[in-house]
Amino acid sequence: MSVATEFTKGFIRENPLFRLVLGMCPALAVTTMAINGVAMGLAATAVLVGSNLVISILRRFIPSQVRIPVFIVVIASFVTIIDMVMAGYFYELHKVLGLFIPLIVVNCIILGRAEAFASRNPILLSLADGLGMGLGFTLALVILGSVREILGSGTIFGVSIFASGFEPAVIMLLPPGAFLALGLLLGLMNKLTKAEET
Amino acid sequence: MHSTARLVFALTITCLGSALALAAIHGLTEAPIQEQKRLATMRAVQEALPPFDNDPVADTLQIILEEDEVGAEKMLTVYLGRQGNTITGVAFPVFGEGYGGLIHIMVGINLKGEMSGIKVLEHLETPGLGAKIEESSFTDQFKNRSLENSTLVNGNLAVKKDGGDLDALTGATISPRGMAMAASAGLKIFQRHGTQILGAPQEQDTTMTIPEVGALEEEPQKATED
Repeated sequence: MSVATEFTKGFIRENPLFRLVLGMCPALAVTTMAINGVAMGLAATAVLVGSNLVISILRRFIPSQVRIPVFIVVIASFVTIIDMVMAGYFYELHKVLGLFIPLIVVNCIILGRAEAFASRNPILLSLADGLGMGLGFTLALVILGSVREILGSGTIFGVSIFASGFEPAVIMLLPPGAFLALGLLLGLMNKLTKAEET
Repeated sequence: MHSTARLVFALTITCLGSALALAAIHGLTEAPIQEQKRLATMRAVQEALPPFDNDPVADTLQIILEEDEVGAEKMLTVYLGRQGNTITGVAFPVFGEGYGGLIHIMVGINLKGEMSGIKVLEHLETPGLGAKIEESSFTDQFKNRSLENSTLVNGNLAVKKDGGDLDALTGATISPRGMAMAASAGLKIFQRHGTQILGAPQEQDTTMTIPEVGALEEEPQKATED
């Protein structure tokens, strides 16, 4: 268990979205545009790194009977902090992501990493785990957001990429489109990693 | 006994630490958040009002609407645009029912009772379809419209499909209908309260520097923090 492996596992091998299939609610809801994926992913990363760090520091002092409430308090505090900072400095993005920022509290990835990793591992490894998992989540959201934005609006990060003849498929921006894109990406991901294993 | 005390202690310390951290961050971000809200209101008001040289966000008037008036908060904050000391136009938030929920817009009206501009503040319309109500290619058609120079259906502005003269959007009729409703509500409120608004005193009302815009909804979690 080196810092490097803990950091890199979140990208592909244990990608929260494509491999662990955690955090589906924000992943499906906000990824109508690639930029939303970046913002949501980075907000979750910040929370994840913060909560992993604090929980790893406190891991010897938290009685196991109350560990879940303690984790939740720590996570909720970080989410509130991120929410306030975003409202103060990234107002437009904050407005777009709206309710999904407070909902990071119930994102399974965060509590999952706290319980499965940070509460059992030293600080440096927990930081690497949080950062890697968070960035892996961000990467997955950006891919999902890009696919939906390209097919649904014909743009990527707001820049138009097709000639005017392209008719965007609006369904990709609607909830069904989120499931379609996610399903296809999951399938693709499984195929790619299978090929790697054999 | 020891174990129970230890549990209570651990939870108390965690919550205390959390409360302190949140209080500190709240203290740091409170001013920027208020400033961002003010700027957001300012941007909307700027787009809606005819040219002005005062600070409309600080120069407001509160009016109370009658029971039978729809499409706006009952306690309505009106932003006044002045040039020199003369009012050139007013802007206030109104709403209409769209496809995904209420569409909140800032409507600006000049002294002739014509719309000088509108700006969508908040909506839940379908991305790619109804959400195009935000684009200026759609909102521009509201400029210079009044209750007198537009075809009205049941006393309201309406889209062509309903017999009015507003262009709808491809694939979306309900969202433009909501916009027409909201704009009509704005024009009617001005028609009814125009004299009251324009008779507003010239000194700036300092009690209302914090914008209490009904349409710019407060984030729901704010209530629990205070």
